[in-house]
Amino acid sequence: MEQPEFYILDKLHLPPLPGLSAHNSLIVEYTWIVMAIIAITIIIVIKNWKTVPGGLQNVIESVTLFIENYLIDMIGPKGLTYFPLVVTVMLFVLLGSYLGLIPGMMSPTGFIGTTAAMAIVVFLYYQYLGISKRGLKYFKHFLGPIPAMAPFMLPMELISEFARPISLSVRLFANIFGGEMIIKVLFGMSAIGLPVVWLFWDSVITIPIQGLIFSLLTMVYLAGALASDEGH
Amino acid sequence: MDMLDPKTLVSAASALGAGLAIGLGAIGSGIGIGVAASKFIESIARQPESEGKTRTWFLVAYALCETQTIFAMLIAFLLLAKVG
Repeated sequence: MEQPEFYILDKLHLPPLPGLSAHNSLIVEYTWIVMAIIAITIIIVIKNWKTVPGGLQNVIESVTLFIENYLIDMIGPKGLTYFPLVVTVMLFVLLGSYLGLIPGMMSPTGFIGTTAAMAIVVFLYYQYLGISKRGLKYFKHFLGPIPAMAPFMLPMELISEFARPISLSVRLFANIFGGEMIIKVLFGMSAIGLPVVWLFWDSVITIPIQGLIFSLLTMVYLAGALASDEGH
Repeated sequence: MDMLDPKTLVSAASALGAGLAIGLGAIGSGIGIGVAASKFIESIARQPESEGKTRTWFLVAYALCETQTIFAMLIAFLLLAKVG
């Protein structure tokens, strides 16, 4: 078969929107560009480490300090073990989405495959953490507070558990892809002036909030899986 | 009877559906974000020092309300691909 990596996506017969199919598009190459930008930025910041931080170091520190404070608040002093995953998620969401605002480039996060991959990694990782911490009794929280209510609670709990990765991926994908579509429509209507409004809204409000949400929800799910007291 | 051939019907219905999807979807997030914002502003007016900590959770509530409308917008885009 040609292009076996798209076998499953093709079987779904999704509409021919650019965000839902990766045929003839350069998603992987744009992901490499984002990886290179993240790596080069972090290397520059570490090489020029100042005690009184200047411009770029300030920006990176605002991200890392935010994540560190929330990890320690939610999980406790051992929370920093999970810092690499959360900071990678946040930086990839932020820089991957800003890339699409540059003319001629598209965001890797504007493709359902990228966001689904991130959401599936987070989902499987926090399930793995819960199981490795409490064994198979980790799944007892699906049964609800009283054993008599288990047949009613189980379907609802399973649905809301699986709604987590779905909503995580579709939220990011639809925000970024919808933003790109609206920019395309506005550029079609008027080349100067009007698209600036949406570019401003996207870059100052939508993308930072989406980065915050993805990383904050990751931390909340990790903290929920690691909770050692039975509070449910 | 030329208007009822399947392709035209699907196009017309998709256009109508796309409009309804985003229109009805925007009602919910308008109400939800309005409620969250009003509580947030009230709590800042009462106790201005709590602004930093409360702001993060207000933005979480904003994004969670907005998600439902964004789902509706995605459906509208999927339907618009079938028009014409």
